[in-house]
Amino acid sequence: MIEWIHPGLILIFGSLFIPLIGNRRVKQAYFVILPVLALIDLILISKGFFGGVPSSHWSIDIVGYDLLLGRVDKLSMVFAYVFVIAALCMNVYALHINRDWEHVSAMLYAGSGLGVVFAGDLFSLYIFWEIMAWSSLFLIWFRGTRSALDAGFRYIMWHLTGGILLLAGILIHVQTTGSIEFVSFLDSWGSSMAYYLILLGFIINAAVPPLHPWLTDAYPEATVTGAVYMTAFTTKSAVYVLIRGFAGLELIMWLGAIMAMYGVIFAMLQNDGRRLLAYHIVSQVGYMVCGAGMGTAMAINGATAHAFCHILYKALLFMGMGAVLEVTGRSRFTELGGLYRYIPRTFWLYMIGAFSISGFPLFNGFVSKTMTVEASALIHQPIVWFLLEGASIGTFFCIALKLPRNVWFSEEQPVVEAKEPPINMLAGMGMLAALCIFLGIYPKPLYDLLPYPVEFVPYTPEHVLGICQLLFFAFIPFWIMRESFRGEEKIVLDTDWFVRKPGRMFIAFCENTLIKYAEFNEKKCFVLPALFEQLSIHIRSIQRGYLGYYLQIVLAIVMISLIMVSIGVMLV
Amino acid sequence: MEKRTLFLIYYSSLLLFLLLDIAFHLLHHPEPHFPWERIPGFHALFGFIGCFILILVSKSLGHYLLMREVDYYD
Repeated sequence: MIEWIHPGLILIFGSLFIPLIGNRRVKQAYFVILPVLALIDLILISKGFFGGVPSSHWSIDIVGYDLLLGRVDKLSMVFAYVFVIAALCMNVYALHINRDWEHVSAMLYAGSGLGVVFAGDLFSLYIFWEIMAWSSLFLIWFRGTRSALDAGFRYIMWHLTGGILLLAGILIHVQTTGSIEFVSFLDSWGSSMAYYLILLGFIINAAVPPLHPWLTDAYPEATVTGAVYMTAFTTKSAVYVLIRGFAGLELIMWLGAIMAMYGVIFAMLQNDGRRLLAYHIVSQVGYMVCGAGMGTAMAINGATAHAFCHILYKALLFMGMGAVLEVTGRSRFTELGGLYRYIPRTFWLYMIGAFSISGFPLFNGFVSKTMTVEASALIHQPIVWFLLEGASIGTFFCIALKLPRNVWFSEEQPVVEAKEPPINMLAGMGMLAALCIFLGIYPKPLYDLLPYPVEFVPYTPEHVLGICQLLFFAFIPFWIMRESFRGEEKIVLDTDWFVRKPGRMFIAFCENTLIKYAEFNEKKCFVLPALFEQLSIHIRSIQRGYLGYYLQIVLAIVMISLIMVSIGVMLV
Repeated sequence: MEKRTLFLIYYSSLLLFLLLDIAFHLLHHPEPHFPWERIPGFHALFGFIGCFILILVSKSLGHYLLMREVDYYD
């Protein structure tokens, strides 16, 4: 009898066979079956087939340290469930894509997200953390445009920095305590440098301002389907590790509340539809980070439930805007408008996501957002309450009013011809939309999954009347000033200015110095420059610029390390 | 549907929510977490004013500080 099967490894090892399958239909079927297998595995785990919940599996002894690949408890299961369900819907959405290696990197990404969630020790957490960063990079690069390549480089720079900080923190922690177990750091907070470093590594992935620009910079540049995957795994696995490691830390409560408002204010200025949505990831993750920081049972439940619902509706929103990009080739408001005549189905599916994120009653955002906001009221934090409640006004404003008006209405005549996207894209959106409404009407299945027993009733007159008044009255200012929100052909600076401008200056400085040096050499002796030139040409010919080739190298490294770990499991 | 009917529905729902909230506050006295929860129609006011403030803050931030030409980083 098998002790346990890791759902993430189903996706990671399963992704290997995608390029090997020749028949297109078989390949598509296989691509959908992969997350279904992982889902079946999860159901078996929660039914107690491999031993009850909580339990530990796949503990490997490596030079005196216990690696634990499978820590199963309620918190890891709820995140795993939503990751797998989302991956299933996203795979349906991405079925028409013919780039095998993009599918491989997407599954590698989702699988390593699951790996993070089930990791019970800091080393395996770190390994999956890095695989997640690298595999998602290819979802950006496969777009193939110059700006996507540049944004991808900046993206991986941020994540490498975060990864190194995390690794440094882990090493100091292991050095001082002698244990690599991943448990709450709250008791030892402040006792050593390690916890600041670990927290920094975590909040870079959670996109907490001012360390968030990798997200809003890179997500709008990713491929249509790649961006959808990216909305789910990186930030939400960071929320998971924050809950696991730093629940109850007041600092992140404040960071989260500020973050919720920050994302909204910047989203209002954006001209690119997917960038606007990306800023709302920052804002929504703010609710979860804030919930983790409050640390009460209701706040943790709220943060977890919100992560669950957020993955569903944010993927739906990105799918909707991605579908517009797919059929029109445009995503900027200044180039869109009046599309309702051509793509009404996409509009209505998008709007289900928009109502969900705004927290309208009967949609899933309502049953999770009210919980987090109520948790802030219960611990008497008026400023946090105001920031969170105020951010939901802006969320409604941008996502349910500004974006749809600029894309589907605003012009009398459609600015560009379009037809509805392929049926599989609509199907993927439909599955998520159905889940959003189902959980909004009947939240019990979600509440049963949460880590603590839920003593919260979402549908009370206070909550329903409160949110309805809030959102309905916020419509008036929008309607008065609707013309000033038509989108402006501008970019909005963000905190990445502090990295990009000095970086540019540094490179310019180096270039100038080199040119001076070369000129000097040319005058004095011309052998050296010629040598350098020959050398650089040879070095350049090593890299072929073919993305699949790089991905194969990454994949090979991942596979070798995983196979070694698996052999370790078998030996144990 | 006509734009007029839509707006009629919208205005009447605004009124409806306000009246329901006032009725709720008259009939029901829960222990509030914050003092402003005692004010009937507080959320309506908050939504309305909050939205204006958000617009004001983001627009002025954008126009006076953050907005640049598209080729700024090139």
